[in-house]
Amino acid sequence: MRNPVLRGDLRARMRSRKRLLIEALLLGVLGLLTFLGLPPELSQIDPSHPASLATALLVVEAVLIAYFASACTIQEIGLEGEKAAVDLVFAPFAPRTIVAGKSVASLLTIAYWLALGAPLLVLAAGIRQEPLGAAALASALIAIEAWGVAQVGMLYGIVLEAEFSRTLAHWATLLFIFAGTLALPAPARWANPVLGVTRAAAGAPPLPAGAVFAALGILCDWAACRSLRRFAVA
Amino acid sequence: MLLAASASAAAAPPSADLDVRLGFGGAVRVGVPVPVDVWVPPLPSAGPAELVVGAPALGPQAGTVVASTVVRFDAVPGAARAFHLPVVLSDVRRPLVVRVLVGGREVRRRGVAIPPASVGGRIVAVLSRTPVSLAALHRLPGRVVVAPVEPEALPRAFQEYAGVDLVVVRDTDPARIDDAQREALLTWVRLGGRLLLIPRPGGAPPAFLAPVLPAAVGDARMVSFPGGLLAGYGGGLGPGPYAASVLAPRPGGDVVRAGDVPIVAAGAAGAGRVTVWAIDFEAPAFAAWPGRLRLWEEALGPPRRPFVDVGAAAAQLPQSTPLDPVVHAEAGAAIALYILSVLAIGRRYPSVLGVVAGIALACGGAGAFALLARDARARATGLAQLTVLEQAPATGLARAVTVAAVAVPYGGPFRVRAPRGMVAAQVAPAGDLRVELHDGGSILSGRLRPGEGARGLYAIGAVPLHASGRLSDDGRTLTVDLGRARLRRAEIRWADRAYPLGDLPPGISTLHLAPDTWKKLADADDAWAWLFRATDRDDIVKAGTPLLVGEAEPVGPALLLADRGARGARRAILLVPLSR
Repeated sequence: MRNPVLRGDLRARMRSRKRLLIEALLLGVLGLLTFLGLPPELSQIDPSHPASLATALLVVEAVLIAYFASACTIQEIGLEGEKAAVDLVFAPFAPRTIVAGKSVASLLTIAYWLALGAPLLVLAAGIRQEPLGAAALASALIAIEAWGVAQVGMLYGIVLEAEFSRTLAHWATLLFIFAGTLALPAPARWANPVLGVTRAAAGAPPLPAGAVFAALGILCDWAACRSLRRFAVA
Repeated sequence: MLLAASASAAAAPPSADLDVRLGFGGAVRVGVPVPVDVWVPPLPSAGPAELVVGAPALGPQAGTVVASTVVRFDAVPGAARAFHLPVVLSDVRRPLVVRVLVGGREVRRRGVAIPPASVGGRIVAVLSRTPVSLAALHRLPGRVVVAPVEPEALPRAFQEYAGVDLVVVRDTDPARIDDAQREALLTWVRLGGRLLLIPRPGGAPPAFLAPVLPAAVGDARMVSFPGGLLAGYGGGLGPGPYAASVLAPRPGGDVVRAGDVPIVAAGAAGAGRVTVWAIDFEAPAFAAWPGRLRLWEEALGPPRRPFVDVGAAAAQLPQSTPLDPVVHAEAGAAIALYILSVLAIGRRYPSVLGVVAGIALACGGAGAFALLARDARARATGLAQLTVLEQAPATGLARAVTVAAVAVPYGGPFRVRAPRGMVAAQVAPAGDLRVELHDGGSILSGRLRPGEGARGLYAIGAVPLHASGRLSDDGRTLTVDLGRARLRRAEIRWADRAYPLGDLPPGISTLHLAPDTWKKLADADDAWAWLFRATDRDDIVKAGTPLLVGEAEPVGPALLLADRGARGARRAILLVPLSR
């Protein structure tokens, strides 16, 4: 890890108690859902579309991890010892190093959270003999989606100075991503993270949704770099 | 004992393709086991092989499904094989598909169409050396199909006679009927089948039938009918004389005489009925005699319906298995332990070591939770069953119908083992079913969708049972011999009335019945109504015959989950006709 920003962020996150609280909340919700969803669904109204506990877990993961990842990068949840991107401009780091470090730290955190949730997913999928391969692909899609949303949060953290504005923009963005995309024409609704994960869990290829959120993340990283350069020049 | 499938070296029929013979001379009945003989020509390759007989069925909700009956064998190049197996037909509009697979590769295939004319409302199987049309039978109601049968083609399992209403033994070579076929025929008769023997005058009937015959058959004699009349069957007979066998009726049977000469003897054989004609009324001399139609009608009896409606019985069984509380507790504890461990590690080691330990814990947790999921699935799979034992009077035999509901609440495969001697199938075509026949019994396997209700299965067999009962002529004393069985919630059912008896111990019991205790079934809390509602009880118990019914202990033959033994409720109901 040559990137000092990445190293610092990961060290801060490993030591953070808030991160532990986030993990407790994430695993608590997933664990409770798994436990309550253990009994088999009987007398289904439409047996051709059986309810899937694993898909429900994946959807919850998609929502919670996307929120927590972006909230951490936008500093809505301030992890102890982790500096905001703007604060690092005045340190001897290039904007590209800052953005890359923050970006990879987000991705690794997301992957770790998904790894912690994996055993519960295995239990939920195994008990109903649902394919784990599709669940793994859906998890990969969740990672990309959450990373993309987190990069939006990082960009807001740089370009919006007021905390209130950042929070407002963050929630408006989350609302748009999770609810507004439902208004898209049916063929494009895979852009909705929940529907995209549901489709991927059902075996559909996650590539289009993954590509959109990856592009969103890269675009936000590029914009964040440019914004940081402006700060540095100023 | 049922020889479910026999495999042996066989002489080659003219065709080198699969030779399939279905039913009784081609005559079949829907929804009951019918015999299928398959001759497999010499195969080109060696290896583990399967004969698969696929019977399509049309399920009300599942659409077209296939019930496959499978026999495994070792293919030997150059050796022909012959198989005999019971198959339940459901959708006769589609052909039966017979396939042979060697090493998983299909090497032979043949579709067998079932002509509508061969699907009998009532089937009369005829064993006769000389061709016989039995044209009179076609004039009886119920679309009677006459099926000439070669002795070698007779079933080796009594269950395969389920579609047959009457077996006519006209004259046959007993040497061509092996022990298993004899046993199957006798068992079927004793458990409710009907047999008509028309011996050739002067010829001896097959000796193995002697235990069930209502009359001893002697030498030939000449008989004439004065006035052309056979008492009770009308006139129109030529005066004769006719060649007839001498009958010496056994006591207790029904006899039709011409003067003092017994012409027809009939009697019960267990729950079945056997008739012997001293004269072959199908001979040309009787072609114009209208009375023979009534004789046939009496031999054939009323249309048979199964006493136990397996669908009604299956509806009594639980359609699912509640999740085992132990599994629920195990899962809850495992989830809590996992979360607490993750948090404890994260708090204790706020470093790379903590992250690595967390990932290792996640990997270990995934493995442990996979095992937990498998255990929960296995414990949720359940098999509830109900066995109805119908005692055949004075035979030491009972017909056992076991109806089971296999539930896989999470969805997935099931494997159920039926004991040796029982023929098993599914109650309704709700999905594909594979019935694999082995020497030790049969294994029924299929798959249920998540949330799908239990799959109903049934198996029919015969078990040795010595239960009997006698009601005194005044109806006030009941003597019951239950042998080793114990009966709970016993009651007597007699026409539209019932008499509750409570629990009856094994062995002989004598009970005095108070006339006031009889209750009208319509007014009473009828615990057995479901058993009698769906069927016409007069089919098995003649009108006016009282019947003892109760829950039997120990229970009869059981189906088992092939991997884990039995799980779920088991009940057995014993039905004993009471003599007077």
